[in-house]
Amino acid sequence: MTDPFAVFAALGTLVLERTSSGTFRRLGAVPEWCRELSLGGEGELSLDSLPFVEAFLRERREARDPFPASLPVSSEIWTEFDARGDELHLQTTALSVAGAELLLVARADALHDTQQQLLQRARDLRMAHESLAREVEQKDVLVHCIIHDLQGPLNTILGTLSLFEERDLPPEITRLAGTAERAALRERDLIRDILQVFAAEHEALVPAAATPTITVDAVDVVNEAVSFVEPTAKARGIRIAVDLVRDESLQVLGDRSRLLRVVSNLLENGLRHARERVAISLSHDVSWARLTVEDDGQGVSSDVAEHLFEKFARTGGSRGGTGLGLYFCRITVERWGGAIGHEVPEGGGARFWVRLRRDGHGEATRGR
Amino acid sequence: MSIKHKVCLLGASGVGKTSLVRRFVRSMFLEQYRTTVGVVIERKQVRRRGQDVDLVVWDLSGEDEFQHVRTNYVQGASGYLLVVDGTRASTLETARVLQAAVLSVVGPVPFVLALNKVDLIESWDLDRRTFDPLANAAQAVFETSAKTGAGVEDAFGALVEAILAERAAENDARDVR
Repeated sequence: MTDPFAVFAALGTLVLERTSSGTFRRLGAVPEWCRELSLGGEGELSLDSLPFVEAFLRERREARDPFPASLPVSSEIWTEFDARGDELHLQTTALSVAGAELLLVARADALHDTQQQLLQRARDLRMAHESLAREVEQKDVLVHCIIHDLQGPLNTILGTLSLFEERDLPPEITRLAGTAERAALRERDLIRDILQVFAAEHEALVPAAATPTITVDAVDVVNEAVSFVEPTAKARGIRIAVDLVRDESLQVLGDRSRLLRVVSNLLENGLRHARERVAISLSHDVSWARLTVEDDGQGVSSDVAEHLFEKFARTGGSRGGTGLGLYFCRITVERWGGAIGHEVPEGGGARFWVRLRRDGHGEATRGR
Repeated sequence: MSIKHKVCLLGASGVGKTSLVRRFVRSMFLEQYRTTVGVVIERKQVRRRGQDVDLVVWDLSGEDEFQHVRTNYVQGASGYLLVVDGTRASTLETARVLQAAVLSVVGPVPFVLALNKVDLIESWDLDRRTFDPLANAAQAVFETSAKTGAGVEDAFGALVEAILAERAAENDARDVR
């Protein structure tokens, strides 16, 4: 009959049995790799030469069943070096057979290689991601500086163009100056949006726990935002319908200047696309405040709707803004534990809604 | 007669622990990053204070979202090298967390802080103020490069020195009693 320990040795597995004194002795022949680690010979084996097995045993001793009869427990893989400096990947298993407490120490090259490939791939990807993120951050800072520096000359251009209005100039020159001024104002809006997005993105990187739990009166903010855009609405012949809660104030979590920007962005967006009417409403339940801005324009096509709140997304058409306004709105309200979305009203057009946590009420969950 | 000491290398993944060990034990450096699975055990004999010291170096797989360092492996260690990648500030926070975890397992054994990849110092992302608290707790701080070998022998040497000094102090205290 074949010696079973010879089979284990042929499979590269060292079998150790725990003696009554707590030491371990080799059973049967030892596999070739043991000789490479100077673990050959017979009888008792000092685990000093296998420190990882010692650590594994220490861990097992703390378990309720150190040498389980069923479901043997295996260690992590560890690596030793033979006399030539070649790696030996090993794994230990503790089990009990017919009352004998056994440790099997076996080569685990295939398992090591599989784990190594998976871990390597995951870590390579993460490092590449980190490296790209650093690169993007550096470029963002550079772009931020450039854009910030553009503000000065642009304000000079705007100031100079405004002086033209005070002069008695030929109509053609006045018309051209007006065109230049409108273009400069669009550029100023773009710079404002970009700088706001930079600021909001930077804030979004700060851990949520560090978010100040400041509150703001949403009713007050909506009234102020409406007053900002009313002149534009009048100039375009668009009526703004305001439907606010009866309460005189509605405290929500958020920063006043940012929320004002969010509401203004939504109103300006509505005015860009409305035919005759923009409606803004504010309602609430126990935990949440809900703000909606609706216009009676052409609405948002389904392919555009999917990406509405992404960076540089456009709400469509030549009347589109910078492609940053809705993105700014999303990252800002999400930062406060709120949410933003788009829906199609029954009568057509577009409706944007924002959910904001009420002071001391809402949980930090998102949804409509 | 030589004395044996277990020392561990700890740090976030990719900080260069394995490269530091390879440089220290084999005077080698591999350009390609090869992640460690589980534990790699290396041995090296050094001579300090007129005696041979057999170092059993446990190079533990790096801490990250894919694999957690099992601090149980640090049990029985006489000291450890805590490694930070100078080009990645986030690895300092990992080092801080690991140091606290190890402290709870083995107590205040000596450790040396290795700020690795000094060959890439122009890309370093560390602010001295952020690593000062950890540096103050360490026996010594070294800027190291497994690639060039800078600081590697010194870092391991300082760790061995600190371990021997602590053992000598323990022996003196025992003799007094």
